[in-house]
Amino acid sequence: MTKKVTNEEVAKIANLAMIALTPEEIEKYRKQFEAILEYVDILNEIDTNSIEVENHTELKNIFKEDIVKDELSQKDALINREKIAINGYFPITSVFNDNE
Amino acid sequence: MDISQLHQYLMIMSNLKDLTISQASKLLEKKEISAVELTNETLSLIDSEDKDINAFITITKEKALEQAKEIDSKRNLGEKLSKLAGIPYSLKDVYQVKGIKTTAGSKILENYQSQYDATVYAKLSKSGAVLIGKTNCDPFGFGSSTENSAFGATHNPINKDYVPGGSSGGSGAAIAYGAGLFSIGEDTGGSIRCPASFCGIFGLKPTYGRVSRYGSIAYASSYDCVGPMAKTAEDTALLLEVIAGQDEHDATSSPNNVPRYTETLTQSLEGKVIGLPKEYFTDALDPEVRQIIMLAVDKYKSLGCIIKDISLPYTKYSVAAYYVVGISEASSNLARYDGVRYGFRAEGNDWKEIYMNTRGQAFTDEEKRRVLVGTYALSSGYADQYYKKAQKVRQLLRQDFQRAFTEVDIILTPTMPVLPFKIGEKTDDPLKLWLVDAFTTAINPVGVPAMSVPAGNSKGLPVGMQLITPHFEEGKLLNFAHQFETA
Repeated sequence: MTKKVTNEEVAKIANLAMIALTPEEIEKYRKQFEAILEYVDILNEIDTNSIEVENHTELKNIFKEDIVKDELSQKDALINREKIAINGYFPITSVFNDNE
Repeated sequence: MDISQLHQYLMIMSNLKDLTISQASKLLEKKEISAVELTNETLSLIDSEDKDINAFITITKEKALEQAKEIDSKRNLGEKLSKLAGIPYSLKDVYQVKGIKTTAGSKILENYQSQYDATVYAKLSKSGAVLIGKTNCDPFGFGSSTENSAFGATHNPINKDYVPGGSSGGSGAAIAYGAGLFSIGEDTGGSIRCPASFCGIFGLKPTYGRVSRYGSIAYASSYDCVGPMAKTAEDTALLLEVIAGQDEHDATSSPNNVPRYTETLTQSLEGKVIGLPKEYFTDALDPEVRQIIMLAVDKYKSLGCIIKDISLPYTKYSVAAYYVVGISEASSNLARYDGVRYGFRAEGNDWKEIYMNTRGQAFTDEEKRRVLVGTYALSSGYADQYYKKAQKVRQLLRQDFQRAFTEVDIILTPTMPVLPFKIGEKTDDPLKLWLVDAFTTAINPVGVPAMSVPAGNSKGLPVGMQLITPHFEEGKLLNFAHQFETA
């Protein structure tokens, strides 16, 4: 079964994944999507209706005391943005418009 | 230093490539060499050789010399030190070391400064091992050749036209040319075992949860394993003893006791049963690889092992199941790279444009492909068809191995179905490159430990065999590897 993928679908996925793509990239990934989806379609040969997915480790819930330790200082937290940090904050552009 | 000591010193330093941890550790203990000397020699080797190999992204020269000096002074004061004290090593550039750059091989983390220490680094530092640098890798572990790195491809020191394997290719190459006596790789679908095979060294992917993942940049969280790469089985065993164990920072790390792996290396293999899965020995296997692996099987026979043909019937589905789950987890793990708090940040008119441009400009082709396909597999309407289906098939893969281990002690396969390939040879078709990992990717969804052991050479290129045991039986893996190596 060949899976057809449209450029619109790739663009929608790129929007969900928050990756800006050029029209050339969209076309390239569309073809690769089809090839990859066709390949993984092999999984549909197996009837998995009766399969329960189990925890793959032997671990149960792990609890620990709620004690603050080894915390990141504000200075360390900002180290990768120290040039643009403002009053100890990460600057970003506004998420909400004035009229929203 | 008298003439004979000087002679020995020069012998060691001119042959860093063959020097093992066990040998160096004895020399350091007897003060025939100092940690500073060994570190300096390693750094000058990197200085002269690495421009042609490109195994390193960052060299931690000052930190290394500082640490080596400290070890030497402790030793001179008569302190009892670990076997790793003064041993130079490298970390794949996915491990956090506070104050040092950690890139994961990706442009999106090009100038990222680590803010805390990975547990594996903290443990090695405590044992006195000397970090000389961070090694090149495919971005976030996405690749089997190290050609996808944002910092250029790594060349295989055995033949510079060839890839070193990947994704921990910088680690494999560094060890192969003598730049550090061991390295810590990271294996999500073969990223330790593939470069170990292509570079002719030992690489161990431990049981999922055996070694803490804290401070390791994530690819696929239910597959990722931290593990040692070294020149002998004995060195590998020693390293696993140091880095394994439960860690409160990683809730998936196992509370199981860490055995003394170095004490069971020489156990007899008489009567042990080795399984050869028929699905791994098909016509698709390179005949030269097959020949070398069958010679290895003969060697095990001569050590008293019984060889049994077995079947892992779901093998043909393993690559598809591996990738669907792996890239789904990857797309989720890579969602954090938005350019806000660290890493590359692009321009844009609003927050969404900044996010999208940041990821569009900094992710390479392979990063985009995996995040996009992973997002698709998890998206509304497709999650049952792809992600959940693959998780169910993963369960069947686990049952394959459980069944096999009721019949055999260990499973033996080639690590890679092909010999090392040339740089640029396979980059045109991404799906083809995904398929060369078929033998290693089958293991991570199951979670069992596996190790690549040098089995021989063909046309001057190394061939690795993969040994696989049940969960938490790394001791048996290392025992089999050591007995083969020393037979």
